[in-house]
Amino acid sequence: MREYISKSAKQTKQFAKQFVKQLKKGDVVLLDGELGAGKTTFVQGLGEGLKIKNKIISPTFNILKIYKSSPLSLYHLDCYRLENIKSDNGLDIYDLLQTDDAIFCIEWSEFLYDDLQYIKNPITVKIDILNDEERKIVIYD
Amino acid sequence: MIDNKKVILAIESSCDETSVAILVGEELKCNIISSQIKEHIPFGGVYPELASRLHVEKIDYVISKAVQEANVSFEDLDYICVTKGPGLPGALQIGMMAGKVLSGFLNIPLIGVHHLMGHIYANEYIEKIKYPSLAVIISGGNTELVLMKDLLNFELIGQTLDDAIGESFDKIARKLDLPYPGGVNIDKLTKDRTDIELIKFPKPHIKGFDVSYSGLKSAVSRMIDEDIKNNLLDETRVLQYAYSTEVHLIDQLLNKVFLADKTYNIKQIVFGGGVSANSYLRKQALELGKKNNVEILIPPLWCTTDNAAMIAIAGKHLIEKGYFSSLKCTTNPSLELELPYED
Repeated sequence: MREYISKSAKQTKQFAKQFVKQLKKGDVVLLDGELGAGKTTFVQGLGEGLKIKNKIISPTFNILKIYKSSPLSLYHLDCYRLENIKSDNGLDIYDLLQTDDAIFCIEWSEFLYDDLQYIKNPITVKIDILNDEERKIVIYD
Repeated sequence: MIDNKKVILAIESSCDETSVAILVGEELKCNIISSQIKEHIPFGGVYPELASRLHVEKIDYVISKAVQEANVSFEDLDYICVTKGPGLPGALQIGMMAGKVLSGFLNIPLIGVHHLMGHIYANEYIEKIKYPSLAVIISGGNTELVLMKDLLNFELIGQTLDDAIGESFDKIARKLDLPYPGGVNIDKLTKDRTDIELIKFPKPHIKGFDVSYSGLKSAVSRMIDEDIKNNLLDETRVLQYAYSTEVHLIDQLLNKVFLADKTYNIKQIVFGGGVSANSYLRKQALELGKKNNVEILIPPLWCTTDNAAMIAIAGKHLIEKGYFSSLKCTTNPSLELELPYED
């Protein structure tokens, strides 16, 4: 477990940009944190690190956004809308994880319920709100 | 110009409406919409797997109903227009499959249409767009400012840096325990009310024509939590939050819209997408348009939500300019708004 204090959204992005260097293909990052903690901001930093040109915005509406890049693409999932759906395999997460050359970043992963079993050895990043600007980022890997 | 008797059948299935329209020349013969909103309410949002299943179940019926209502036969059709993207992957594919079957079987051209082009050209059911125009597309998944110097000429000049405007409405509404869809319910609560006290939320300073809503979401969300903790979140307070959310989200957008208007010397501002049905937005846009001496075009309410009539009218422009798709073409859930797009 590692802890890091971010003093701004900019620092959170910078931290994520460095953090992505230690990820390899197939890695799954589960992002925890309440509404407005800065989960999408963190993913924007990952995207910068992966040299993704497109703007990374919230995937809430589409649930999944795919950003192609080389050597690693980014699959950005948001399960926010799945809270009340307790059916299995609603997102085909198992099939999705078979994709080669990508890292996966999942927000609100608790709403995957049983499908969480398909995710082996995820890296959990927890973002806690300390005050308006500051966040505590905890990495469990 | 295509012959005025030409018959277009258009299909839209990018999200939670299965829709088929038939356009003969300039005349919209029918616009059948089978909405799934009711089916998605228990989930508090669109559930993709269910959306795809419902599209499969309904598409045949919606196509036959459209042909029947327009009083045409399949042999009368000249073109098939289908939403190519952006949207939910599974949902898009079902419309595309149906379109390809019709196009292949009847041996008539297939045209893949960008969903947002549809929202923009939906306005032409009221009047022709005047260029240079600024298109403002606002919905659950979109917040885009598109400069159009000419017909089918799109330049994305501004967008959200994080959450879409409709998404922000929904997320804050959910925090306030208001039912889905949040934007619609906030509008219902605040419409025609002039007595609600405004709560001041932090205003972001974003460069250019981009907007940002996630900071606002975080701040409001924390204020609501604080109120809940102190037992202050009564009906009046919910109303205040609803109204203030609406004002802040829309004012930030309109500031950028009229800044773009000044910068590019726009002739007409056209709105599109579900959030353009919002009463506060409609009122403010018209007032500011008058003040800034620029024409405002807001689609009729029937055309703010997803439907195939808008795909038909955008498709007609694509046909006239020769943008056709092959039967090998694919859907693209993240299709960018620029022509020509990849088959």
